[in-house]
Amino acid sequence: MKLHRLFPTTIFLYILGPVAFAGIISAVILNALLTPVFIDYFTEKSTTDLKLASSLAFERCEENFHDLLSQRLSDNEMMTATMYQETLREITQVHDRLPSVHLLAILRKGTVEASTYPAIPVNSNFTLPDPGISEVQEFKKDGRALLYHSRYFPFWRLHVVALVPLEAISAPVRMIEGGLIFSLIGISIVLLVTLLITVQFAIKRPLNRIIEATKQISEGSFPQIQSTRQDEIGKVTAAVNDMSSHLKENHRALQNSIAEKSVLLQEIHHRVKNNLNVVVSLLHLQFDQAEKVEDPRQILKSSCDRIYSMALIHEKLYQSENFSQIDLQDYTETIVDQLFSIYAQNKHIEKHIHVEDFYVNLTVAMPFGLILNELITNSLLHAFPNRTSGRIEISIRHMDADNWEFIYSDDGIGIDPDFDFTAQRASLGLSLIYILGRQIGALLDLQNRNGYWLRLVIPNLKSPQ
Amino acid sequence: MGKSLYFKMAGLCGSSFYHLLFILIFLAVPILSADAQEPIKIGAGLSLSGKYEEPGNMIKKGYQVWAQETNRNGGLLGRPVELHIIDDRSSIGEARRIYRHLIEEEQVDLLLAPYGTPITLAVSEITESAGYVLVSGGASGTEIWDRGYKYVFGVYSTADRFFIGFIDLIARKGIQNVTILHEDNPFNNEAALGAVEWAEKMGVSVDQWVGYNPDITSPAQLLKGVSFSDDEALILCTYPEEGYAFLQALSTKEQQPSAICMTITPIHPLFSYKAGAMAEGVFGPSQWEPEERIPYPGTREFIRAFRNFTQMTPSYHAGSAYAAGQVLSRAIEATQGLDHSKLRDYITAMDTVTVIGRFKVDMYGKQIGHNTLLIQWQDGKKEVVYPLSMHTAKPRFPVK
Repeated sequence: MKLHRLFPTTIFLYILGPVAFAGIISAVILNALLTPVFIDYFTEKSTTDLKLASSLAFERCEENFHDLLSQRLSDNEMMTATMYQETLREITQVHDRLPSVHLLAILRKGTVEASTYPAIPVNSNFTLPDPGISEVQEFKKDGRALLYHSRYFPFWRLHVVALVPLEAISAPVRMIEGGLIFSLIGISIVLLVTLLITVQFAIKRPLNRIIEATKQISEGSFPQIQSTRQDEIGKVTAAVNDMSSHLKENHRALQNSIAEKSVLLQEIHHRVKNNLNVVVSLLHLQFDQAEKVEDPRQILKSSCDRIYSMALIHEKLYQSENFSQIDLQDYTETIVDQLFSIYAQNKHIEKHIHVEDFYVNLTVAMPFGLILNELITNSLLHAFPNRTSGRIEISIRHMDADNWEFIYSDDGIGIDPDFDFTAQRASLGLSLIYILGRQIGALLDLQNRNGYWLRLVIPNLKSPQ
Repeated sequence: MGKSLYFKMAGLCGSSFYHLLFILIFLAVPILSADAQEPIKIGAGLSLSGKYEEPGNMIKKGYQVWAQETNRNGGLLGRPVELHIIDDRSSIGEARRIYRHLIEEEQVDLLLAPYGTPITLAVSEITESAGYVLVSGGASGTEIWDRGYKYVFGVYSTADRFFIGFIDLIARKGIQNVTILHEDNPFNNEAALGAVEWAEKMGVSVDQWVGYNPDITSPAQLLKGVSFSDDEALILCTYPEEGYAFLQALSTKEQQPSAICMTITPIHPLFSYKAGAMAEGVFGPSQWEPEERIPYPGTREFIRAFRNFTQMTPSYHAGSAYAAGQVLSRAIEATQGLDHSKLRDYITAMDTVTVIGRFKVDMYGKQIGHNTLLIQWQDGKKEVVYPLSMHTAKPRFPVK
C-alpha cells in the first residue's frame, strides 16, 4: 500500500511539516545553547588535565631533584645527568597516564629535550610564547591551535609543558553535536511515526468507519459501529449509532406505513368497487320496491341516506390515523345526528347512545353503518305515526372476548309480530339489515319490547383497541 | 670519663668470693631505680645572653626537655642524667673556658654542643682533643666538619644548603635576580656562599653579594648602598640581632625586594611579634618546624612535652637540641656504655630518624641525611612552603 493512501497529504502537511520543523528548530536551538556549554566543559576538563599533567611531570622533577639533594649528589655530574635523563623519561610517561595531554620538556634556551607531541619533536627548537604565565594559554603552531600549561623547573633549567590540541577538545563536542542532531532527528521520526500511527488507528480508522456507516445509512442500511471508546470519537460513534438506530426504526415504520397504504389503496379500490356494487345492489333493490312506493322521491331519499352512510365511512377513515380503523362511537353518533337532522325535524325524538370504546375495520363498519342507517331511518319515518315525540336507544358494548353486542330499540309502534326477515314481502330495510347482519356474521334477534328492539351479536373481526 | 660499674667492680676483685659478690650485685643492678644510681653528668655551654641569646635559650630548653624525658623513661644505662649548663654570654672565649672547665674540672661524662658555628668551631677543638663526642644541634657551618675531626657530629643540614628552597622557588616564579647580604662570620659566609652556588645552578643572577662586619657597618648603612630591581629577591645571612635591624632599615627604603629570605631570625616563634608588619611574607630556612602535620616518630610527643615544660612552642633550635640528645641516647643504649670512641663509631654509622627528621652523617660527622625546610610568614603565621611535598601553605609572591 502506498504511503499517501495510508496517510493523506493533509496529514503530511499538518503533522509531518510541523514536527519536522520543530525537530530542526529544536536541534538548532539546542545546538546553539549546548555547544558553548560543551566547549566550556571540555575546555575546563582539558585545562584541569593540563594542570594535572604539568603538576605530575613537575612532581617527577621535584622528586628526582630532592633525591639528589637528600643523597648529597647534586654536585655529582654523572648522577645528576642520570637523574636528568630519568626525569625526562618520567615526564613523557605522564602522557601514558593522561593520553589526551602531550608532555614536553623544553630547555630554557628552547631545545626540546623530551616530547610526546609529534609536531614538536625532540632536539627541535621551540620557544614558548609566554613561559612566565602560570595559567593555561593558547597559541598556534603550524596553523594548529594548542592549549598549554607550563611550569619552569630551575634546577634542570626545564620548562615542563603540557599541551592539548584544540581540535582534540572540539572533537568530542562535534561528536556530541552530531549525536544530538541525530538523536533529535530520530526522536522527531519516532514522534512522527507514533503520531501517524495514532492518527491512523485512533482517528482516521474510526472516522472512516463513521463515514462508511453514514454512507450505508444514506443507502438505506443502518449499521452499528463497534466501539468501546469514551472519548470524542466514541461519542461521535455513539451518536451515529443512535442516529442509525432511530433512522432504522423510522425506516421500518415508513416501510410498514407504505405497505399498509399499498394494502389500503388496494383495499380502497376494492371497496370502491364493492361499494359501487353495493350501491348498484341497493339501487336494484330500490328499483324492485319502486312499484310499491307512492313517492319515488322517497326512494331516492333513502338511497341517498344509504350512500351517505357509506360515504361517511370513508370520511371517518381518512380522518383516522391509519385509514383502516373506524371509531365506532364517533361513527355511530355522526350517522345518528345526520339522520336526525333530516328526519326528526319538528319532532321530539330522544336519542340515547351508549357506545363503549370501539374501533372496527371497514369490513364491519360499512355493513354496520348501513344497518344503523336502516334502523334509524325506519324509526324516524315509521315508528312514531301521529306522534311528535319518541325515544331511540342505541347500545354497543363488549360481550366477551369474541363478541360484541349491538342493541337498537325505540318506543314506537314496534314490528309486525309475524315478521320474517327472509320473506319476500319483507321491507327493503329489514332485508338489508338481515343481509348485512349475515354478512358480518351477526346473530340477529328482533323483538317487540314496547317498541322496536333489535339485538345483534357480532363476532370480533377487529379486536377493540 | 665515665666507666661502667661492671668494670670498676671487676678490677677490684680477684677471688671467687668477690666474683660471687659481684654477680649478686650485678643481678641487683636492674632492680635499682635510676634515681638511686650515680647520675650521668652532661655539661654544656650555651649563649643564654648576648648576641645568640634567643636561639641559645631555645637550645637550653630543648636539652632540658630531653633530659626530663630521658629520666622519666629510666635514664641512660639505668642512671639519671644531670645537666650542667653554663652561659657563655655569646662569647667564643667564654665558651672555650666553660668546656675546658666541664672536661677537666667537673669531669662530666658527656658534653652537649653550644649554639652557633663560631663557638662550635672553637669549642670543638677542645672536645676533639679530649676525645669527647660532641653532637651539635646548634651549628651548621661546614667548616666545622672540613677539619677532619672525628668526634664532632652535626644534626643540622649544613649552612651551604640553607637557601636551596628559596632560590628554587624564586626561580620558578621567574625572579631573575638576587641580592645577598651576609654578616662576615663562618656560618653566614657559608650560607651566603651556598646561596651563590645554588643561584648559579638555578639560573638566578646574583646581582649584589656583600659581606659586612656588624661591628663596623650597621644594616641601615649597608642598605643605603643597595638598590633593588623590579624582580629582585634579597637574601640576608645574619643573626637575629642584625636581622631585626635589617628589617627595620628595609621598611624605610622606597624600593623593596620581591622576596626576602633570612637565616635564623624568622625562625623564632615570636618573629612576627618582634618584626611587626615587616614580618609578613619573609622566608626563612628552617631545620625543622613544630608542625604536627609533618610528623616524625616522637615529634608530637616532643612538642607537647616542650609546651608543658616551657609554655612555649619550640623553634627548630629546640627541636635540633632535643634531636642531638636523642642521637646521644641511642648511641649510649646501643653501645651500653659511655665509651666515646664506641659512641663515635656508632654515631658515624648511624642512619636514624629523630624528632626533626633523618640523621645520617658522613665520615667526618657532617650531616648529609637531613634537609632544610623553607618557611614563610603568612598573615602572622609561620607556614612551611618548601619542599612542596611537605608544605602547609603555598608560597606567596610578591610578598610586598
